[in-house]
Amino acid sequence: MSERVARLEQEAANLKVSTSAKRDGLYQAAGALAMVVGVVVAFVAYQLSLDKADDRDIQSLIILAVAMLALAVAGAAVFLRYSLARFLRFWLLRQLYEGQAQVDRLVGELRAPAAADGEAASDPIPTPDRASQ
Amino acid sequence: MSPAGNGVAPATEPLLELAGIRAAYGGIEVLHGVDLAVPAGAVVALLGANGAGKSTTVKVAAGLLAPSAGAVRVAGHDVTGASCHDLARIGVCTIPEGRGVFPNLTVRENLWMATQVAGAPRLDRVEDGAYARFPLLGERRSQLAGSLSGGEQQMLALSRALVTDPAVLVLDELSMGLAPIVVQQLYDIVAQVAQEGISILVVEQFARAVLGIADRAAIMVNGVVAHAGTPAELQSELSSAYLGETT
Repeated sequence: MSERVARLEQEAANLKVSTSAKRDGLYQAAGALAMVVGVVVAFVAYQLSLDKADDRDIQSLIILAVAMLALAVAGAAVFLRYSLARFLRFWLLRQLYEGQAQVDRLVGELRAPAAADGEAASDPIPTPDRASQ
Repeated sequence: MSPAGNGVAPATEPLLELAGIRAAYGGIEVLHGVDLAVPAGAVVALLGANGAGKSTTVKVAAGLLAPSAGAVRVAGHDVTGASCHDLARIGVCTIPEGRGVFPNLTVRENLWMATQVAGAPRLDRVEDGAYARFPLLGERRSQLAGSLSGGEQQMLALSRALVTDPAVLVLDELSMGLAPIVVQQLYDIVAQVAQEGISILVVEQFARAVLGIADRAAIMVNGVVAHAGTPAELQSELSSAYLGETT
């Protein structure tokens, strides 16, 4: 067995299969749920507190409402974190794709006049040297 | 022909194995139970007409698409659901369909990108290796990858893929959009890579070029592997018109 194959076997044995996409989806759903539940429970607790005469009941319900608002804020943060991650991945892919399409257009424009002048045999494209830019 | 084809005994476990793979895009199933094995040191050609499911099979093998059923195994270990970068890190490297390069980076910068993974060699060593294998890239090291010819871009993609010294290389439609003479040159290089002991799965619509270097071949029809064997055994099937060209 070659060293390369032995290394592959070792690495494959040690590979922990990550299910990050599923995990992202779960976190996103949990964040959305926390956001909704937090807002709803906070609203209900606040409304209930309005009907209470005992200060201790009012305080308990207000504390619950504030805690639920905190849960809603945390849920919103989790939701944004995991939905943005997905969005940014697509954004990066789109940037790459558009970059490639733009270069293709530029190359096409550079080649077209040279081909029309009958210079197709030699390389008509100037070498863009980034080091000199 | 690769070392395996020259009589080197393959390992007992295939280095890359797809077993009963089913995969779908949304509700539409395109792979209906694909079985495919790439033995150690072998070049396996996956052939078939346009729409047969070859590229989807590659996506599953590369970790770009999770199968709905079946298993992907690497050296006998189940890696079903592993991500593309995990597979690349352990040594299963894929060159996707089309141009697998960053078009707005120079050749040198593309190679530099490949060194930004754990365990990759230094850029100067990578460059030495790439330019030794592809002297043309050395002459164009400061040129934007997008302005290279299609063949040169594939050379650059191959160079990048070889940076991490992969055990398995998956090539998807290497010949796409290239002149036949360039395709032949590229497959000559692939044959050299295979001689170094790297197992290769080549997906191709056009059979002629790849069969010259393949140890085994499989023909996909409508989302399943309809025939598998050595290129010689598959001659009658290869003559069928569904390959996209008559042989």
